[in-house]
Amino acid sequence: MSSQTTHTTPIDERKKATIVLIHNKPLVFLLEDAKYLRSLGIVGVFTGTLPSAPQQNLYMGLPLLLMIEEMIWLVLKGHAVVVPGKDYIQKVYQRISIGDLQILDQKQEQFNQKHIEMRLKKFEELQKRLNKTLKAPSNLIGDNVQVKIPLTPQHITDSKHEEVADSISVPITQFLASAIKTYPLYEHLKSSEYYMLPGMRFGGRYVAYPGDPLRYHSHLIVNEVEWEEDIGLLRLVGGGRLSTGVKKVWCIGSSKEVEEVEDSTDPEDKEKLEEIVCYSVEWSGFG
Amino acid sequence: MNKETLVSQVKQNLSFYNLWSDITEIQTTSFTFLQGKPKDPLTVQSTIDSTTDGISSELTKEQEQGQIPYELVYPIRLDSKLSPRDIHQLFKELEDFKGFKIEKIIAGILNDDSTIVYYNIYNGLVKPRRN
Repeated sequence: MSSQTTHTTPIDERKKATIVLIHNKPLVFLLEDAKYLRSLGIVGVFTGTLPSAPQQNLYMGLPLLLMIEEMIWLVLKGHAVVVPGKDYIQKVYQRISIGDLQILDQKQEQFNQKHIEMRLKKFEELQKRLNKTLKAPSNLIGDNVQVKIPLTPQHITDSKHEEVADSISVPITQFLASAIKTYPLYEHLKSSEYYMLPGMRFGGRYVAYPGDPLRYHSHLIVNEVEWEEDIGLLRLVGGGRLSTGVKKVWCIGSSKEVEEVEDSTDPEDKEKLEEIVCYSVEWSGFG
Repeated sequence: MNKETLVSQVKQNLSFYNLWSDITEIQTTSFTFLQGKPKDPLTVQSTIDSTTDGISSELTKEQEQGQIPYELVYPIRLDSKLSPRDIHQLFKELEDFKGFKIEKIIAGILNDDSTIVYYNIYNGLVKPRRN
């Protein structure tokens, strides 16, 4: 996996974090990447538990689970690349032919040969320093070489990757389509410098923080409603009452369609496909 | 129950229960609003977020002078439909009528048992009130 290649790259040189997509869950496995994402205002949720404290979500660690919207944002803004998970690798394996295995065997052989030569060289150097001539126990050195090249997709020809990539692109596209509806709202809030976390704990789509959630209390409980969809006044009252009780504001965000955009004299507005409109609700404090 | 009863019921609740004064009806193209002055200033207002435009100048002037600003109430029944488009329309018609930017409309929501609850709806994102 290419996540192994980013492992050694220092943070300021590396531009893109690696998101591994496993069973449609975007996960970040590297601490450096997690730090980088946090500096971009993407917090995510830690999902790794300690065997000794599986219930304590304060002590959770890597991997970092992202929302689909966060993944889309990171990729669109060029901060991250998505790497397919186990399914992809398994599919690549399934397509390996005998010819490919022979190539892998050859590579393994070449690697072993190099390794043996290296060790012999070292042995000879040692001999020189000791000023003694010993017979090289070449078979012993050869036996010691047990390093195997891991069978990673990197060692398989590009055409195999392309074949598999085509076959998995359809399910990934379908999965992304499920998030497309809420993404414009996410991006709108992100561009307003809000930090978003999943909103289930307060009964919304997102909970929005004015800065890092470790420093601030959240301000908004954000809900996504379609432009012509009924909000439901009972839902509005429930949300408004809850949010005022927990010192937050209950918000609805909606995509306004292109036909609705006014000020047609303004050329900038004409180019907009849709704009996000937000309304905030709170209890009035009387009545 | 027709629209007139809804409006008059909310109006009565405002004037006799919440002791608002100077209540007038405002009729825009498709909506009826109530405008009035609360007995006491409403609790600390939510502050309009810096990302949206500032609060309308007329209200801030009144607040500076220590006067109680006029509030705008939109009477609505609990079972009515309200979509983001409707809210957009509410603000738009009211702004066209008033001629300045409206930041807040109070929804006066009436239930069958004649309970009326009031909820502030802000045009844009606001910061929670400090209390």
